[in-house]
Amino acid sequence: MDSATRETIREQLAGPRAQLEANLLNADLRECKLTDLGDIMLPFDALTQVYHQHGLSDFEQSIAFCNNLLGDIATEHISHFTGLSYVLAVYELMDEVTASYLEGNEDLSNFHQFLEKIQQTFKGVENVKAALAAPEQTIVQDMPPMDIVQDGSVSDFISEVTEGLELVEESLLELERDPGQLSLVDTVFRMMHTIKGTSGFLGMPTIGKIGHRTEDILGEIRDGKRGLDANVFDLMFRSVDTLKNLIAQLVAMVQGKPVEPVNIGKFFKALETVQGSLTEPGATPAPPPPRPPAASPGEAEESIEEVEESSASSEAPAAPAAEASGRKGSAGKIQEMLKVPAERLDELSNLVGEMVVALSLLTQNPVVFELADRNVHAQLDHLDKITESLRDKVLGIRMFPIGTVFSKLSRQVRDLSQKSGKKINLEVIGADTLVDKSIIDNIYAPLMHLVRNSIDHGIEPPGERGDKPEEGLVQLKAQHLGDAIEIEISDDGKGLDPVKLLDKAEEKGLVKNRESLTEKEIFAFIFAAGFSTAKVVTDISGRGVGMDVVRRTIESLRGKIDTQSKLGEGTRFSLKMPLTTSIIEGLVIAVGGHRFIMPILDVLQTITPTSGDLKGVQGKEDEFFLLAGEMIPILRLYEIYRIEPKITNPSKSVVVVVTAGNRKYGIMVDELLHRQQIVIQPLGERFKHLKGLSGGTILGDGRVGLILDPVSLIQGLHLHQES
Amino acid sequence: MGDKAKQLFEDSGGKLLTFIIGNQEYGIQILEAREVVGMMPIEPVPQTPKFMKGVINLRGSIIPVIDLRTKFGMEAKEATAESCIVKVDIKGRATGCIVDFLVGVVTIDAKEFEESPELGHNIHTDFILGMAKLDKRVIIILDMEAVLSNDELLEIHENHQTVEATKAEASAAE
Repeated sequence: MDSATRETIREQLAGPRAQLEANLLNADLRECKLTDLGDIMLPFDALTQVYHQHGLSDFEQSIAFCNNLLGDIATEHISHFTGLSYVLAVYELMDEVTASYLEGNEDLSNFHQFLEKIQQTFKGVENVKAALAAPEQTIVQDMPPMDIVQDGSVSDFISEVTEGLELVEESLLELERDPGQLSLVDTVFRMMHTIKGTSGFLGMPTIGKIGHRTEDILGEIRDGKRGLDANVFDLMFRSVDTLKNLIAQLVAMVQGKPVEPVNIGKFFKALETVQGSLTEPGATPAPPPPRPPAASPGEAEESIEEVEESSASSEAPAAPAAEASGRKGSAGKIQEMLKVPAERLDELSNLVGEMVVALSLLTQNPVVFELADRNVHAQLDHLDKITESLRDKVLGIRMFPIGTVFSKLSRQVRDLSQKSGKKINLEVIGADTLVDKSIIDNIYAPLMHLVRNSIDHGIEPPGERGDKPEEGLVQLKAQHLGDAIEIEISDDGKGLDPVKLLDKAEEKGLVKNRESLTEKEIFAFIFAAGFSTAKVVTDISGRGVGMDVVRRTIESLRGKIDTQSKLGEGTRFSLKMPLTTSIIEGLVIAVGGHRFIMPILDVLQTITPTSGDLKGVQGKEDEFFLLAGEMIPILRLYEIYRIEPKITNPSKSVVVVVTAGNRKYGIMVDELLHRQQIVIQPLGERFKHLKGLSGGTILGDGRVGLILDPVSLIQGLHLHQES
Repeated sequence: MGDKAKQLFEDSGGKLLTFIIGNQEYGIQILEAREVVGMMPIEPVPQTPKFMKGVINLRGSIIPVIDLRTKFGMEAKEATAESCIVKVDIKGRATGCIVDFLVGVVTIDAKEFEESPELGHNIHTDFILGMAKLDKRVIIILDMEAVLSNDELLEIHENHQTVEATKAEASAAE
């Protein structure tokens, strides 16, 4: 080959090589779509043409090998991870050899050797495909990549699939009883789809394949192409069983226990029956060795030596179990999980709450109290301690670290920062703070909204940030404050502009007298429905529909939002809510003969106003009182609830100051009794239309106390005045 | 025979729990009655209709209690040592009903049952499933689902709100 031809080849190769450099080497091994595969295949095709044109069949072959791999990835015969690792290894070497070939080094024997070895090794991977096609076949899955074992993805996947399969099984049984419920087909279909997707994503082709085939059949049923006959149910149950076995195998593998091969042939037999295809079992490829010998994808991408080493071990296949345990190393733990209906936990925590109350009744009983026997008191103390720790444990069952929510957010922040072209540094503090499951379940959407707002409206575009670092800072912080949790979202952006907010509020008719509003009250407007000051509505935020939803979600968790902001320096939202939604700290108050409980989180302060501070219109001199220069309306609980009060003069009563909307109100009561933790019980359907009451609780004397909800109480009053 | 009456004989085997309110004996299907407890302190709930006496703590769970006397339009009466609360369960919803005096369980025969009787003015016939005549006893069998239907509770509650609203307006006018 003369140097001119070499030059031509080099020129011809340059384009596709550059493309591959961009597409292949940057491809995420774990997550890639079909279009990404296309992006890799196209330059490969171009390379093939060049090699073919110049008769370089060795290179042509290796490209064909890569292309086959890509095809297998696309048809989900092998995982992205495994497939791409091989493609990368082959391509990188080929690229190198091509370069040296074009330098004049035409000895390709090493390359031949390598290709042979890698193809041999790859047979192990291909086994998945062959095994899946065989009618009677046992299989041992590939060990999932170590990094996803360590970060818990595999563990999550296992519990997700296990739970899903339970649901599938339930739905199938139900469906078999009553085939009319086609919505159940949907449920099963969705679950199989998830299993297929996630297992593909994590590189578990066997599980993915079985999920895929099952999904196909379900799709046909859903679309009315196939009826629900006994064969189909048989297939579905086989699929569930096979998946369960494969998951069990995965668990054993990750835990480093002996691995039993799983017979997947039964599933495929059932599939055959269902599809009515009468393929000859003999027509399928000869059963390959059960385990892909040491075809660890992680190794393949590293170096040829590595590949050679592993192919060497393929000649003397180690027992899969031994190998799996050898791989264990720092294997991730799979915690055994129990799925318990939340209702039972609620019952349990209610009972424990009652127990705490019952015990305190006993210890405070005068007869017991006066007992001279020291032992009795020591024993009661002991019982008290046990009860206390029992309560903590029971409450702890529902607690999870907020970090799961934060990490979901950080992924979103990355996307948003790219979308908006702003550089964002996300700082997370207190990710291990424990909060109730109900908060975890509900807090993501509001937090997401606030973070979006910070990025979209808060952080300035690059170049407009003045003295501040070019990279915008968004901080997520969680911490416990007594029995509450506080979550802060702060940014160092441009802050809220009170003047603009006021203008907007005036335009919307939300303000009558702008001078009278405090900064806090002005900031509270951003949580009003339909309020947005963004000039341009972007696809990230600015429609003004979200902030009032944020507020409502937080309020439904019995929480509060506080906004602080300084123009040019940034904004901070702090969300404060009780640790659990079933137990709160309450202030027991008395009005007439009635007792109510005011959640502590709602109480700003309690005060007995002096008669000098009482203000009002003529004839009614005590409608308001002055608190630190602010006129606060007095709401008399006895009037609202028409109770016979003991005290009607505010200067002899106690006023509990609360905020509702963006105003302060004083709720006047006869006296404050004490403060205690209470277990909230719903009052039920019958009372759900009542304004101002959010539930009931059993008080220390065994009687029921009603829990006030000042916000809805005050909103209810406004409604009456307007109507 | 209506569905509910059929249910009385098929599911409850014609067994009734009977009690007295005023001078009349009433019965409810035994399956609907969960338990009977003595009178206990009742916590009133504001802004509810008159017959809604409030809520009680029944071994840790909070259940509403209604006064059947008031509900049936009779004059309210102080509870006596014989008054008790019958806890009924309709569609999973527990409610306590105050009655003057508990009689006991009686089994009636289908032929002793009579549907849609004509009664005086002081009884809402909507709440009545039928009557049973045993020797000299006449038992009015209640349709507890109708007695405890939420619609009526809501309706009265709405009225109550209107009263509140008028009151608020009045105070605003001052």
